[in-house]
Amino acid sequence: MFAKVGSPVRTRPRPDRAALAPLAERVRPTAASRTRLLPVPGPLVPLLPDGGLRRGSVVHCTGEGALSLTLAVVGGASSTGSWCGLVGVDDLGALAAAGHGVDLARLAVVRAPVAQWASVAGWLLEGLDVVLVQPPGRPRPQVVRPLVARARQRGAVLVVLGARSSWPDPADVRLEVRHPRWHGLDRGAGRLEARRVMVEVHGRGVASRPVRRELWLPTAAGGVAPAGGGE
Amino acid sequence: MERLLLVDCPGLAAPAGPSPDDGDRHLRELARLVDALVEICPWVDPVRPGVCTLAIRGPARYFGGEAAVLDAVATAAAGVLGDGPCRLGVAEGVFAAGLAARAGVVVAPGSTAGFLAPWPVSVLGTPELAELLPRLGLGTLGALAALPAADVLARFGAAGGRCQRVARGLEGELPGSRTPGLAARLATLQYGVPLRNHQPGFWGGASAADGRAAEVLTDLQRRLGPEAVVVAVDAGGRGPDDRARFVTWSAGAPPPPAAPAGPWPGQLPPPAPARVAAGGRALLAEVVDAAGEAVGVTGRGLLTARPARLSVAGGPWAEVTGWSAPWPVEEGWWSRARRRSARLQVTTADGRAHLLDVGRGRWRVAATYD
Repeated sequence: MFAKVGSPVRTRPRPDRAALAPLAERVRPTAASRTRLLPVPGPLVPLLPDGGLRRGSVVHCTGEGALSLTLAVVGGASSTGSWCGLVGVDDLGALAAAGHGVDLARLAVVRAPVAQWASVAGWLLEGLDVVLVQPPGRPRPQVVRPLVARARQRGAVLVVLGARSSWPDPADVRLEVRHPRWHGLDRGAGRLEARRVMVEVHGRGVASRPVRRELWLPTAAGGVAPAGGGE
Repeated sequence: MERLLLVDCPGLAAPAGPSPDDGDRHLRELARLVDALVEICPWVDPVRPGVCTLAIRGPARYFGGEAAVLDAVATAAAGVLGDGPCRLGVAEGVFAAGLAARAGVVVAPGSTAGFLAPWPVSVLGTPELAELLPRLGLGTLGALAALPAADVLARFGAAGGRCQRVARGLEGELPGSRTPGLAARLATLQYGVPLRNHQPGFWGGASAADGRAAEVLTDLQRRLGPEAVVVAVDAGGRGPDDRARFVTWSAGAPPPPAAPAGPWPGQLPPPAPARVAAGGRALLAEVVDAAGEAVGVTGRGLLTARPARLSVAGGPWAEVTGWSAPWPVEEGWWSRARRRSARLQVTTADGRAHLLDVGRGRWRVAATYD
């Protein structure tokens, strides 16, 4: 037999768009605002220094499972009306994105030549609240700094996905997925049910002792949930 | 400098008074004109209301000469404007091409400065220069061009220097001659999306964010092609790549169809994989047993041995820590050819999990639980 998942892993139901519209209007910040926060799912609130995605900031997700973490990080903003753009990921599992609350109708996936990733990201930062980018290789600082500057100037959130070396600048927040363990699969039986991970937070404005949280990412329903433990 | 064909439609210029409704009508017609011209040359550049240019070199090769391009453009413009005025001109740079259109001439390559020389300085649209220069006996662009550049800079500043460079045919356009964001605005109008802050519209409630996003994405499509921007729709189906389908994003498109009620028999159980190999781009994999022998699948859908190690795309071997029982799949998920294969989930010691597909002795990575 296979291991049982030891925690409630149901996520909240899909948000009712009509009911959320007034909220979306309220949380939809003006472009220049630097203090406004874009919401994140409840289990991620303790991981972010501001309890949400600060406009104009750069968040870097690394480690095995970084794409799921990225989707979870932006799911709250997306489900409350923010537009997201995705550059550099041409094999996105859209259902996984939807499971994390990403509104697929407001997720623009750009399929551009690899060499144009930075200019595409820069362009998206002009008008979208959240831009997800998976840079190819190790971009040089002079390539990424204008993107950081534009995110700051436009009040957008730049979410970088990839190995630590995929972003030469220190991000405002770096979320690292560690110790991924899949539950539900045995040798020749069972199925993937949920993954338990530890997410470690680094960055400016973060306590010198890294904050760590145990999460289900994804849960059996495809979302994110606290798994107990951590600090 | 780029040789440009400039189309000047005074009837489509912005009306003088503040009249937003009327302004929209003029812009809508310009948008239709731009769309008609894109048939001739994909790089149509709307400069300001009533004016757009296209680089003539490419289409001239295609149509067999500049005259043929002018004919095609005149015909396309007449189709949109009817009897409305439309002037065409060809020269290097937007400024000279604008004057060429005003005069209705085609300026020979390399003779832009000579063409500009007799025009009065008032065509620069800079009141200080237009008043001052004639009093100094410098009434024409040619006279301005002939002054020492250092003197012009010292007397008239950077703006004057820019005017002189334009008059000399060294620069293509004057600052302020271009309406920023016009291309995006036209495309937005053409595709029926409400303008920024315009209520209501769009699916799921209008918002300024929707309008902003539409402008940026439409402009991106103009640069990279429409198919470069896609959104996912839930299409039903069984495999990870036919449950969700990516379609070209289009401003003002109706909301994607609601997900049909599931579940379907044979559908991949949740949670869904974060990465799904699209089309024929599934990576090849190798699966071997403890003795290093390749693992296959029998005709009855059973594995021939217990998987011990997995290598994706010729990469390093990872120890297999878990696998599901294979389940048969009848539809080819990466090719149109219908054939039998089996699918199973596999975890490895490095914490990764994949959905593997095996058929005809070949393993492929259908999806990865990143």
